Amino acid sequence: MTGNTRVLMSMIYWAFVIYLFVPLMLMVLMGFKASKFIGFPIKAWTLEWYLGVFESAEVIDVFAYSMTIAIASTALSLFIGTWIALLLGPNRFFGRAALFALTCLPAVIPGIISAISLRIYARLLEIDPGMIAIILGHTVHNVPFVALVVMARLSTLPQSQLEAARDLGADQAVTFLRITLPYLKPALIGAAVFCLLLSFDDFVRSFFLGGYEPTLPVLIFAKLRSGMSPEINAIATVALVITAVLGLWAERWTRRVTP
Amino acid sequence: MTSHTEIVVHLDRITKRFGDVVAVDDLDMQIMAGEFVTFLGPSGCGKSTTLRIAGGFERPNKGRVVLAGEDVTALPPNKRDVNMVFQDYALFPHMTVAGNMAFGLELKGESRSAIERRLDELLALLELEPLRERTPDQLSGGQRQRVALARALARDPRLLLLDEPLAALDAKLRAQVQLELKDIQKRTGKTFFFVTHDQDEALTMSDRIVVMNHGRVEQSGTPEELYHHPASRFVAEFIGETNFFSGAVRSIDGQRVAIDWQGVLLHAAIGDQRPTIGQSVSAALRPERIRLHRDRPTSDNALEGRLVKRVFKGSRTVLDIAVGESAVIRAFDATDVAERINPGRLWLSWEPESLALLRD
Repeated sequence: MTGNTRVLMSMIYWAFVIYLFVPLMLMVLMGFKASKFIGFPIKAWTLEWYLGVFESAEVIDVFAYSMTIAIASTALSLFIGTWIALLLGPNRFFGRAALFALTCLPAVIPGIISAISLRIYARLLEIDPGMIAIILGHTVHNVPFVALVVMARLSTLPQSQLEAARDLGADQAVTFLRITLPYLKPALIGAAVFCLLLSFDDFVRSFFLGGYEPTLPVLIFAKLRSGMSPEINAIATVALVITAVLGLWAERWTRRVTP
Repeated sequence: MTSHTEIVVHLDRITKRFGDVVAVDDLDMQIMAGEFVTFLGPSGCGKSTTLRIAGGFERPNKGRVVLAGEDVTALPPNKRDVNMVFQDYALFPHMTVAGNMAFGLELKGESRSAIERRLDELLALLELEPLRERTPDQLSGGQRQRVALARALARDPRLLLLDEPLAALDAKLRAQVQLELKDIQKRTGKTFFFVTHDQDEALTMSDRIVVMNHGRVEQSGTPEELYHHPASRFVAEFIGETNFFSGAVRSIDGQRVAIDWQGVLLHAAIGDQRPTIGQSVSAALRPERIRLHRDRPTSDNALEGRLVKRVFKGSRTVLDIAVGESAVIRAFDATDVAERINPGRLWLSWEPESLALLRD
């Protein structure tokens, strides 16, 4: 590569970074504006909106509600996804390809269609709109991601590891708990963080399956309808910081433990 | 040392098929207590499958595995008093050296103090003490191999299975580890069932070598027996270098047989074979058994030839000698002797005992 192309390449890269981050920066910035309306010029600054986030019982409750849903659906997704991966992984059986396709399906179905069908299904099962319905909805959406990540990791587990464990006296259950599960740990942590973020971020499913209590994205949407105010920017910024920290930490951690 | 009289494992007429492929074909073999037995053969000869059957990782289609008098054919690996050193060592990456070694003992239900004692003993035996708290990714290839051995020895199994455990090491380290392994086997008195395709490994370490080909046993015997008295052409070719002579039997006299080879009578040792007059037979001659002379020697086996190639190999020299119309006979000689041989015509001779009659 010549010097000129290198300069050009890095300029394009930085242009892309700016394009990505300017909107986020603007959002963070507006949260400090001492005025009811979003937009330039910013004449006076305040911390009022940010303090408001932490003082408002409503916002705190919504954060907790979203977190609870994210954690519960993640736990369920990990369990079911790992189960499916173990079933699909090493075994050859009739209908394997079909089961694999079915497993992946919820990940590629458009959110709105999946949300409507889940809503109908929940009513059929007489599950009231609310936390349980959202958790189940998020789980359906997350399971494919867990299954795929775990399957990829599982395929790199040498058969001899399992044979060595059996050879040293472990039955199948002990082999799973002491060899397979530790080997899957980085994949499980990666998948867990991904599921937490997907669930925390999800609007469409939460909107259709939710009851009167809103999740964070639903709350932000509701507030938007009553007019843009820097309060929304403050809430969104706090959510942004939480997800970014979680995501970056997970990325670092996975890199450290993966051999 | 044990006297090799007690049978540790009896592979009782075992057959194993994978689809249409017969991996092991009616193999019958006993391994005695304290023996270092090596199954030697090219890849795909069924040696690893035989090992895995003994370990419980494969079920034979026919036959039984009898371990210390007990039929264990249907038992899974965790129910057998047998441990294995895997080709890739299969050390558990998330455990330390000590953790790997303790794994089998914990599952046996040993007390913490008994486990610690056993670890101390093995770490000392294999000189692994300083590596105790390391994880496998912090070890060199040779160290991993020793940890794998220590882990397999930890449960004090009746039989230790070793699946080409030196294949991953470089040549120099391999030579050293061969001697270490043999030494450890002697000191522990354990029965080793070793599998390799490397004849050098087999000759260096084994009390007994079982040569396998196409799922069958070609020959079983001490390294010396196999080297000096190969039963078949396959064994003679697989172990060391060999010159082959084929021809019809002209006369039989006690332990000697005279073969007509390209119009010259060669005298060979009969060994275990039962040739008849007129039968077409093969005989094998090791290159280092050939002596070279300037003039016709007074020997039962003498051939005149012409030196066509000389390859210097350090302490010895390889000499290729053309004899008759198309045959080339290979001889090894000490380099100082070989250096005195002039190019051109010369004579070869050997003792009749050095020319071994083959089965086919």
